[in-house]
Amino acid sequence: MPAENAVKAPASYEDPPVLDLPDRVRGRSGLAPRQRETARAVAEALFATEAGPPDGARLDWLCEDLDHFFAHAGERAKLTFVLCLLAIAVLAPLMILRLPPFRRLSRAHRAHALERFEQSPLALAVFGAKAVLCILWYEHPASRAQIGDDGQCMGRSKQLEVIR
Amino acid sequence: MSASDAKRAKHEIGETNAKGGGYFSARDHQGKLELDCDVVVVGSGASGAVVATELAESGWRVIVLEEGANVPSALHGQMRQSESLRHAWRDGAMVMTVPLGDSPAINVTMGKCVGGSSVLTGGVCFRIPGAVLKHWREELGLTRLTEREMEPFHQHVERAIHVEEVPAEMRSRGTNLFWEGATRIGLEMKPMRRNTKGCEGCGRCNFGCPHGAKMSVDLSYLPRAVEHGAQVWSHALIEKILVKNGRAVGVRGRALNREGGNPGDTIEVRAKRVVVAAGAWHTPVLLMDSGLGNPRMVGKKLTLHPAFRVIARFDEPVQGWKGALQSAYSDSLEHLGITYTGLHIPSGVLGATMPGVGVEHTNNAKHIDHLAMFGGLLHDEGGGEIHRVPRWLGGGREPIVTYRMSERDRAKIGINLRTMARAFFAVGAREVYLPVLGLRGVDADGLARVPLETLPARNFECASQHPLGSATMGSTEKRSVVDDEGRVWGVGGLHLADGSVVPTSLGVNPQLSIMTMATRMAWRMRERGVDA
Ligand SMILES: Cc1cc2nc3c(=O)[nH]c(=O)nc-3n(C[C@H](O)[C@H](O)[C@H](O)COP(=O)(O)OP(=O)(O)OC[C@H]3O[C@@H](n4cnc5c(N)ncnc54)[C@H](O)[C@@H]3O)c2cc1C
Ligand code: SF4
Repeated sequence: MPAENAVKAPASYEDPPVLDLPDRVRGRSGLAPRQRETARAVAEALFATEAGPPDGARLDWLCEDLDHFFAHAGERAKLTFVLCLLAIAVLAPLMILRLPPFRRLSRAHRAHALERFEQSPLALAVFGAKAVLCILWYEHPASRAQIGDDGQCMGRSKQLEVIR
Repeated sequence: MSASDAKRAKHEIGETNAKGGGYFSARDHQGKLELDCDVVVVGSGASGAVVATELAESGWRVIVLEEGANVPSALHGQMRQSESLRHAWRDGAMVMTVPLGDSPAINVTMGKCVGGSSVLTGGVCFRIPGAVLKHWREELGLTRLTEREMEPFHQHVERAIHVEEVPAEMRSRGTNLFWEGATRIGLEMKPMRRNTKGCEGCGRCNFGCPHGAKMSVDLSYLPRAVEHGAQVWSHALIEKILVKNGRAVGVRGRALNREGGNPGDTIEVRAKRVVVAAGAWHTPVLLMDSGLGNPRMVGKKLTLHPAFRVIARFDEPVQGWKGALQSAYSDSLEHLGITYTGLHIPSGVLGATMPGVGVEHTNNAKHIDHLAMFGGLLHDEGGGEIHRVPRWLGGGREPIVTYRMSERDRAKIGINLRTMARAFFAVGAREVYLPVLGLRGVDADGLARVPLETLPARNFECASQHPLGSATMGSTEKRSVVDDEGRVWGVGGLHLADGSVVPTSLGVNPQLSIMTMATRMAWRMRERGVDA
């Protein structure tokens, strides 16, 4: 049985990644609520298709997985990601002459602001945030299918045992 | 499950075998942990595993201490790629250098688990190039390091890790396209040698091999060490080398057994010999924190093999993940300090390199299965430096690392990228994605217009998997940290075995070179005897 705080994907996903946290790592925290909100706002703009923004359940799943990622990957990793988010939160809106914070902008403005940021000398911050979001996003079976990745080199883990 | 995996699985964590060996987790231990042995090895990666095994098999009592987790290869092979990143890689692979001068910020990846970075390799194996050994002999006075001297050590390691040539049928479509294009523009392509046994070409070597086919040291070496009585402790962070009367007598650190995996109880291991094999990034940290080693050289001459990738989009599906991860290379431009090696990166990471946001990004990402890629690494002159930030200034476990790329290395980036792009265009690539932040795909005409030679280097995406040379080997105490057997000048019983001792960058992937040098060091230690 997955532990209480395991990440569960919505039932509609046939191959849901489920991660169980080793007991003694439970005290670790992932992202703070504000940081999660900013990450979600970036993801919603980044992964929009012609059909519109990704559905909310997918974004919930992404944010939970993101939390677990940073609970395990170490403080330095979290700090790097959070600095990238902070740069986006504060500077990206200014690049399209809007007031921060980024998460309050409309989705169209967010996309525009990120595009501008990506062309600026601070592009590394967008790249850093995009890298982590994309790795998690494109691991999901639904996203893999969209990009023609047959998942051959994707792991099959449904639940990780405790890593010692 | 491979034979070595089965052997390793027999050793449950926490179980001791007849010879006293086993895998243990300091996370499971409560209270001060005190141990005693002949040789304590800090770090269980490519070099640490080799030294531990060679000495355990000679009857020495060996303890290996590893900061990272014990991730059995069978489990690792099942993980999603991002799970591997969070459990087996240092800082989720998000370590960056601080660029000085006209340099890119370099993303440096390392392993943090039992088996170290060896567990994450693409399996590529190169011997120490003859020209590099010549340079070490003639310019650095390391006169004993001849090809003849190294031959038995190279052979010994190659047998142990099963180095074999990747058969042509195992090459991915992407690699074959580059091979053909590169040949058309005049480069000579060669098949790669890798440490694999029963490879099925599923292309995910960096994130755990699902078939137990990659002969990383957690499978090829450590089980042998354990069988001969070595103890391998995971979650054991070593913070200090203990010295008495000018001689290393052990190490002290902490078990990562607190809430949140934080450092808790003290670990103290008394030993007749201390071998530091914490990798080129962390060995200098341990030396600095212990006040040992030539302070003018420790942490100073770090080289990285800065590497750049070019991605090409074809009309036809490529599915670059189908095939051995790295199966071909070219050293045709080695005279310019550039080596080309095949590679593949996961779809998610590829997705991140697709420019644009929203519809533009997701449309670009739809072509991921049409992408081929190749990498070019620079045989760099150095320019890296490891800095310790004092705790009172907010410094923690990890160092700050700066990298100032030399002008000559900076000048190589343009030719490096243009050559790879030309190879892809020669076989019909529609466009290439250069590793320039925010740059959209360019066709052949567009390529000519990208000012690669004059762009600020900070605009390049650059990666390194090969930190080397931060506590170098040399012939004099003044200009190096260790002698040609890895003994730290001026401190008895203290040896360095890892990538930090490699005197200059190699121009090729370093695991075999590091393991060969570590084997030589272990054999010399063995010859001299434990009490020498
Ligand atoms: C993604 C990736 C792919 C690679 N691919 C290839 C390839 O195909 N071919 C090739 O030749 N090379 C490759 N390399 C490089 C190769 O893996 C390394 O050069 C080699 O493993 C370095 O060996 P090492 O012993 O110096 O350090 P490592 O193997 O990194 O081992 C050092 C170990 O020490 C531990 N440690 C550090 N500090 C402490 C401490 N204070 N206390 C306790 N433990 C500590 C670390 O956690 C780590 O496990 C790759 C590296 C990476 C990261
Ligand atoms: S390509 Fe070969 S060595 Fe790499 S993961 Fe797949 S089976 Fe293992």
